[in-house]
Amino acid sequence: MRPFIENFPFFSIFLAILAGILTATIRSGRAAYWVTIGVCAASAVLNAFVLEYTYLGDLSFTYTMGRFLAPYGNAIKCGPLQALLTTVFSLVMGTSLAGGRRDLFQDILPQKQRLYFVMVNMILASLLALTYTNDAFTGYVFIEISTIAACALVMAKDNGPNLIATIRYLFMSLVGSGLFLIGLTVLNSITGYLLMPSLSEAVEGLKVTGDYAIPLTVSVGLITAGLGVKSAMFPFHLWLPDAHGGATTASSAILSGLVLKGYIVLLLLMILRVFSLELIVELGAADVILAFGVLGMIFGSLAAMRESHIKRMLAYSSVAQIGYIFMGIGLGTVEGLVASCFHILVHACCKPLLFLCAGRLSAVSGHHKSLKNLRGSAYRDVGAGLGFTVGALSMIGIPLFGGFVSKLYFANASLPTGMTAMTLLTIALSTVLNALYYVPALLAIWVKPPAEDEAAVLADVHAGELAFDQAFTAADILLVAAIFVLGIFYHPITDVIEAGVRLI
Amino acid sequence: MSKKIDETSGWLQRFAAWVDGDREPPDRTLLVMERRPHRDFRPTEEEFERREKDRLRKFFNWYPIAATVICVVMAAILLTTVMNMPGFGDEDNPINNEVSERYLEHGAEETGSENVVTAMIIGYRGFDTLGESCVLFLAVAAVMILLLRDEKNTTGRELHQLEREEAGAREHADLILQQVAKVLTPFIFLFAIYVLLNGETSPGGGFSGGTILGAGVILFSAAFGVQRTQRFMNRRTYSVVRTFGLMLYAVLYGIYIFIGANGLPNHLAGMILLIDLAVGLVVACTMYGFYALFSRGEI
Repeated sequence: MRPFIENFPFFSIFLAILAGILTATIRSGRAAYWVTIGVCAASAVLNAFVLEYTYLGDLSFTYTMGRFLAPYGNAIKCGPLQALLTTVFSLVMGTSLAGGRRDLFQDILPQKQRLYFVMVNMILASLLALTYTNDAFTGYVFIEISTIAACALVMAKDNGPNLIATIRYLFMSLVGSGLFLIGLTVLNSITGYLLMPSLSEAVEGLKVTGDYAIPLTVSVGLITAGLGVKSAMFPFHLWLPDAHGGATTASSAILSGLVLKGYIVLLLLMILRVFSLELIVELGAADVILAFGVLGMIFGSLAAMRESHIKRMLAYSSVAQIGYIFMGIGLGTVEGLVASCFHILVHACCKPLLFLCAGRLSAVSGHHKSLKNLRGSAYRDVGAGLGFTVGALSMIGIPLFGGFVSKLYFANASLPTGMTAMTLLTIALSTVLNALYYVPALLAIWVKPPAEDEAAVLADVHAGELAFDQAFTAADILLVAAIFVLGIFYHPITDVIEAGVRLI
Repeated sequence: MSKKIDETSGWLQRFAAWVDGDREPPDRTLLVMERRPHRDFRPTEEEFERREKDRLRKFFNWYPIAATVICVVMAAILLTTVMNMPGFGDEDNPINNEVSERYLEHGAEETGSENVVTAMIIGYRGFDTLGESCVLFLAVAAVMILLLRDEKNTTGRELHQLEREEAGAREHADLILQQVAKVLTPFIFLFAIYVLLNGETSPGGGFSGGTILGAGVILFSAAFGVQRTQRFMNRRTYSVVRTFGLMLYAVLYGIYIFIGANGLPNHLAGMILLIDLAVGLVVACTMYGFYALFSRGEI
C-alpha cells in the first residue's frame, strides 16, 4: 500500500478532466468561472503537498495509471521538479483567469463562455499530464488536447483577424504534432517500447551496439523539431504574435505563460529520461537547439522593437524568452537545464503579469492597443502601471527581480562549456535589446500626454472600465509578489530544481 | 509631440520619436492583423493596393520553391530512415518483445477481454484512450465555439434563407432517400449496438460501434430533416448524452486507476463493457455533432 499522498498527482489530473467535462453542462459563465478557479486552487494545493513530500523525502515515485506495471501500462512519475512546475502552473492559470476576467466576459458571448472554461480546464489537465507523464505516447495524446484547446482559446474572441490567426496557429501546431508523432513512431519501431524507463534502456543498448543509428538520429531530430514548432522556437515562431497578440487577455496570458512551457517540459523529460544529455550532445542536436535559441533571443527582440501594438510586442518578447530556455537546454549541461527550468518559472510568472497589465491599461484607454494611445494610462490604473513596470524590469534583468536570477544562472552555466564567449555576448546583447523596447513602453505609459490627446483617448473609454477591478488587482499583487520571491529568495527554488533534475 | 514624423525626417527626430514611443512604423504584417488607419500619412488607395499586390506576388513566387525544397528534403530524410528501419514483419524486430508477448498471451485473462485490441486500448493503456476521448469531446466543443449560431456570426438574412431551404426540403422530400433510410436505419442501429456490446469478444468496440451509430443518426437526419431528428435528439439530450458518456468513462477509469495503483481488490469486472459503451456514445455524438454544426450551425 503506497502512501496516500502519492495519489495527489493523479487526483489533480483527473480533477481537471472532470471539471472540464462538468463545465460543459453549466449554463452560467460565472459559475463555470468559479469552478475553474476552484480547480486551479485545489490542484495547486495538492501539488504543493506533493512538492513538500518529494523534496523533504528526496525521492521521486512512479504511479501506475491502472493495474499494470511499466512497460505494460501507462504510468506517471513525480519528483520535486514536476511538483514545483505543476504547482506554479496551476497557480498562474487561476491568476491569469482572475486577472483577465472583465475582458473575458466582455469579449466572449454569454452562451459560449462555458465552452471557454471547458478549454481552460482541459489545458490545465494537459499541462499537468505533460509534466507528470512517464509514457511518451501519453505525452502525444495530451499534446493533441492542448493543441485543440489552445486554438479554441484564441478563436473564442470571435473576430476576423483572430480566426485567421487561429488557422495559422492550428496549421503550425499540427505540423508540430505530426513531426513529434512520426519521431515517436520511428523510436517505437526501433526500440519496441513507449514507457520512458524502458525506452531509455533500449536507447542505451542501441548506442552501445550502434544499430539503427540513422533512425535514432532522425527520431531525436523530429521529436525536437516537433516540440520546437509547438513552443515557438525561433525559425518556427511566426504564428505566435498574431495568435497571442489578438486573443482575449486571459487567453494571451495562459498561452504565452503556460501552454508553450508544457511542450518544453515534455522535451526536457524526453532529453533527460530517454535520450540522455550525452546522446543529445553527441548527435549535435544540442548545438542546433543552442543556435536556434541564440538566434531567437536576438531576432525575437528585434521584431519586438518594431512593434507599436503592445500585445504583439509582448508576444515577440515571448519568442526571445523561449530562446533563452532553448539556449539553456542547448548548452548540454545539467547547470544549463537548471537555469532553463528556473527561467520557465520566471517567464511563467512574468509574461502573464505583463499581458494582464497590458490588457488592463488598454481597457482604461478605450481598448486602444498602440503605445501612442496608451500614454499616461498608468495613472488611470496605478496597479496595472506598477505591475507592468515590475514585469518589464524583470524581463530586462534588473537585480532583485526574477529575470536577473535566471540570467545569472544562464551566464554561470555557460562558463564551463566551449560556448562561453558567444553565450555571454548574446545574453548581454539580448539584455540591451530588451531594455530598448521595454523602456520606451514604460516611458509611454508613465508620461502624461498633452491634455487634448488624452481627452481624445478618454472619449472612447466606457465609464465602467475605469472602475476599480478587484480580481485584476489581486492577480496583479500575487504575480508581482511571485516575481520578487523568485528574484530574492531564489536559493530554495534552485535547490528544488537541482534535486528535481537529479531525481527526474 | 504632435510633430509630423515620417520616413523623410532626420534620424535624430526619428530617434527621439522612437524613444518617446511615438513611432508608428508601417504595418508589415502579412495578411493578418487588422489595419489601423494611419494618423499622419496615408497612401492612396491605388498605391496601397499596388504595394499589397506586389508583396503577394513576391510571396507567391517564393512560396512554391521553398515548399518544394522543404518537401523534398523531408521526403529524402524519411525515406532514408525507412530504409534503415527494421523490416516489416521480421521475427527478430525490436517490437516483438515482452510487451507484445504479454498483450497477446495474457491479455484475455488479465483484462477480461478476448479481443486483444480492446484489451490493449482500454485495459492496459486506458489512460491514453481517455485522453483520445477527451480530444473528441474537445473537438466538438471547439467547433461549437466557432459555428454555433449567435448574433456575431449569423445575420437575419442567413437565418431566413436557411428556413426557406428547410421548408423547401420538407415539401419536396427525397422519396428514394427516405424509403431507403426507413429500411436501413433500424439495421444500422442494431448493428451499431451489436458492435458496441461485442467489442470485448470480437472485432469492434467503442470507436467502431460509435462511428456506425453516428452514421445512422446522420442518415436519419439527412433523410427526414431536422424536426424529426430533434424529437429524439435535441440540444439538451445531445449534451446530456455527450457529457454522460465521457463522465462515465472518466469516473470508472479514475476508480480503476485508484484501485490498481494502491493495490486494492478489483471489483470492476464489467468495466470494459461499460467503457466501450461510454466511448461509443462520445464517438457517435462527435460524428453527429460535426454534421449538424457544419450543416446548420445548431444541434
